[in-house]
Amino acid sequence: MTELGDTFGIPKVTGTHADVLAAVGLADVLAESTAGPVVVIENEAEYRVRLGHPLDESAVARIPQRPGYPYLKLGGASAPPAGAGDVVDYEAERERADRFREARSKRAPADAEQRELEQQDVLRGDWREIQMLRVLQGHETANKVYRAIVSVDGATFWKQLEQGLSAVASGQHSGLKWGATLVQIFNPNAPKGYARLKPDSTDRNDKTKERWTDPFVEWLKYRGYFRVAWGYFHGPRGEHVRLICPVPRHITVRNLEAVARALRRSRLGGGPPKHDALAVLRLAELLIRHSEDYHVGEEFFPGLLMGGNSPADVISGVMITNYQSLGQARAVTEMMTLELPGWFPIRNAHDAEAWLEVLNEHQRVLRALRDNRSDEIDLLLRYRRFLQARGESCTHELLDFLGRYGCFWMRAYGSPRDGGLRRPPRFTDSLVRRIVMENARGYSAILDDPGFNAVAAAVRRSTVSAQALKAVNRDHREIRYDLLHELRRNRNLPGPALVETVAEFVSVYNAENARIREVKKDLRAAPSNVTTEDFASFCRLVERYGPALVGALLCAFGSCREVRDEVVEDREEEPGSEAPSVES
Amino acid sequence: MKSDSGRPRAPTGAGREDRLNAPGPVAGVPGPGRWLVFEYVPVGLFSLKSSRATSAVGITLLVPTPYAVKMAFVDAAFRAGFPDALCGSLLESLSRVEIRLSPPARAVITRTFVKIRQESRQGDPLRPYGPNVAYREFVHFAGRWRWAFDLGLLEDHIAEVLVECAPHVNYVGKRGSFVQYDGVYRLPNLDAAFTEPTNGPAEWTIPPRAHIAELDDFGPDATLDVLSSFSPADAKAGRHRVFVRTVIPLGLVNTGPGFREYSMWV
Repeated sequence: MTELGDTFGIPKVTGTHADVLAAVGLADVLAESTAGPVVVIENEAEYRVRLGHPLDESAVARIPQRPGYPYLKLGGASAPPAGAGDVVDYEAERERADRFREARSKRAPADAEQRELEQQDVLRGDWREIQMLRVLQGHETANKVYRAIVSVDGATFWKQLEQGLSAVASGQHSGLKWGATLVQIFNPNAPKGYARLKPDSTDRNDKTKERWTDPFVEWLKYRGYFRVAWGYFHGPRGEHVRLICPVPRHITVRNLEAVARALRRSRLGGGPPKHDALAVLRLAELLIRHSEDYHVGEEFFPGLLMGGNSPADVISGVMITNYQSLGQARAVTEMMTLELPGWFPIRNAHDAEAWLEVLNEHQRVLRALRDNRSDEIDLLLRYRRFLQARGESCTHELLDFLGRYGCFWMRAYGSPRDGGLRRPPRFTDSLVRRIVMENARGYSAILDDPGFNAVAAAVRRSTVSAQALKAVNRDHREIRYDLLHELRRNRNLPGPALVETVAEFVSVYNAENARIREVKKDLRAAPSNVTTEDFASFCRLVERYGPALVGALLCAFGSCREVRDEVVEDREEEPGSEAPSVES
Repeated sequence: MKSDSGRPRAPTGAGREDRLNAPGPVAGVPGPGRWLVFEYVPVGLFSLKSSRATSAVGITLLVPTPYAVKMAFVDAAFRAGFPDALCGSLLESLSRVEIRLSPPARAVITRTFVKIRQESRQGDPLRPYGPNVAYREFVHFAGRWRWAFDLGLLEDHIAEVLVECAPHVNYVGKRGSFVQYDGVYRLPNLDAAFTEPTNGPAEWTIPPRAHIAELDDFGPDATLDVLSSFSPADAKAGRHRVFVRTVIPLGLVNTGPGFREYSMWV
């Protein structure tokens, strides 16, 4: 065997999670040949898998002869092959899962017997992935490849492995005959259907799509799936499947696997928009918390360094594929990529701390939103849109979300809920300011303007701050429930609508200040007025940058919390109970 | 002039190179330049399913494949009234011609579901097709298409047919992906705005904004009889239809609910 070099490329030919799974699977296989790190690097056209040294025959021979994923035993017809190591008896495991779920659902404190039962019934870490594999009918082809690998002798396996790796290195078909077929869980662009070389038939039992199958690459996908993918069942009866796959930008495969494992353990809860957004934020948080340079009291992952980078430089995003149940079968209805945030680089511990604060705040806000209410699910969808967007439109989406969230907060704060009062959290001005300033540097002229800040502070005092004071029965000024709505509405109107609204508000605000001072006979009883210079400066900003942008920033920052504001918030919502899984 | 296999022989030799590099016209198009470039304006949404994708999930390519472009010209030749033999000869000549495409500078893919008629599994002769839904994507382009044909391996009379057929090409890819002819000229070299096959003789480079796609093309043994949808002959991958990994100079710049936006670097 000739040396295969130290770098292998998996081209992004499908643009789906299939490419990611193949790259991770390849890195996983190669990592077994060496004690050193194997890094997955993303570029525009491909995922590059890099070892520390060229791959030669002796290195290939160190790769153990095992498939790298469990064999799924279903019924009597699929007896595991001799030599199979990790066999999952699906029915037995499912019974165990049912018992486990039942035990956990009991709210009463567990007695010793129940605890013992729970310990016996601890689920496999990859049970959810196994369920998804079964539901999306990927187990048969995975089992076939499993059987093909364990049923040959070592010499044959290593020869086949060399053949496959050479094919990957040269971009050719491996020529292996392992019996793999294309299934939609691993190839979302190739579910059942035909892909004929010329349009001469529409037979649904056509097998022409299998011509695209390379069993070696499919095997890599199966391995990659069990290393990094995760997902959940959703829908009224848990009939839909949502598969999530992190996209490596520059990370070792073992660290990627460790982060994905930690994320699988996180019970994020919620429906798709909430879960998707929380997954992205949690993933970013895990990367920082477990980084070698900025971990605090957490286990760190060796080689995971954030110095000078942001989470987006380590994992670029997550690919989400939705398989919608149509009754008899599940069809791909959505494929999207959410980017991991790259708001600002982490250069020191202070930056890392700021990141964790921001991520924590955003997660608290999202958890408090209920995705079974039409207005709140709209907010969740808009937040996810912010994570989807790239470039400058990303900041626009964030500002739009913040403005809408401010309106929602005014309405929801103090409203009755579960026998108490609802206290949704608010975004902090300084943290939001940092994200906006770092991502849209052109906005700093607006955010640093004294006129803008004076008007934003006045808006805040008359809306969210007054509402917060009212909630704790403190003295507060008149609450302007309509102001944020008016600002949001008028910022998109042509002409001077925004300036007129602000002018009217400022006159009422200043008059109210004067009245407070007079009633309390204390000049310091009210905050400072919005001065003529402040208002003139604000008008100049509107003239220069337009009402749409200045209005969006005003709504966003006018509804944020200043650090000195009173904080009375709900405790974090418990993650929603897991949706039942339906298997057919 | 015919080769040993009976297929038209490609023009070769230093004389051909000199002629292409001279300002004199080839196929009526003034030079210099070995690339015959046709310009089209997209006037409808574009869609062309990736060959890897099945009918259920019609993920679209961002550019028509060389196969689709060549077939569009063959189709136009039939519709323009050229003799069948000449159309077949055009197809065979095009099988060895390299085509490179320059997409419009901006593209937005929208995904949707369309109602389709699908062949029944039961094979009921009274209801051969039933209703279903399928995932489909459509591309909106802002700008112009440029399709460049390498004249180095194309006979003059075939190039003349291409020039004559070009105004008759009114869609490419999925039916309804309409384009409007806007002129022809020659170029000596193609810049980074054109697609680049990764298996070509030249070292390929990835522009800052690009992606890779597997595009199909006529294979070396392509004939009208095999590729025609109306003939029973089997098309074989590698012989009649080949797949080439190609760098497409459009990179992802934004995504959102139901859309992806791509733009060109240059």
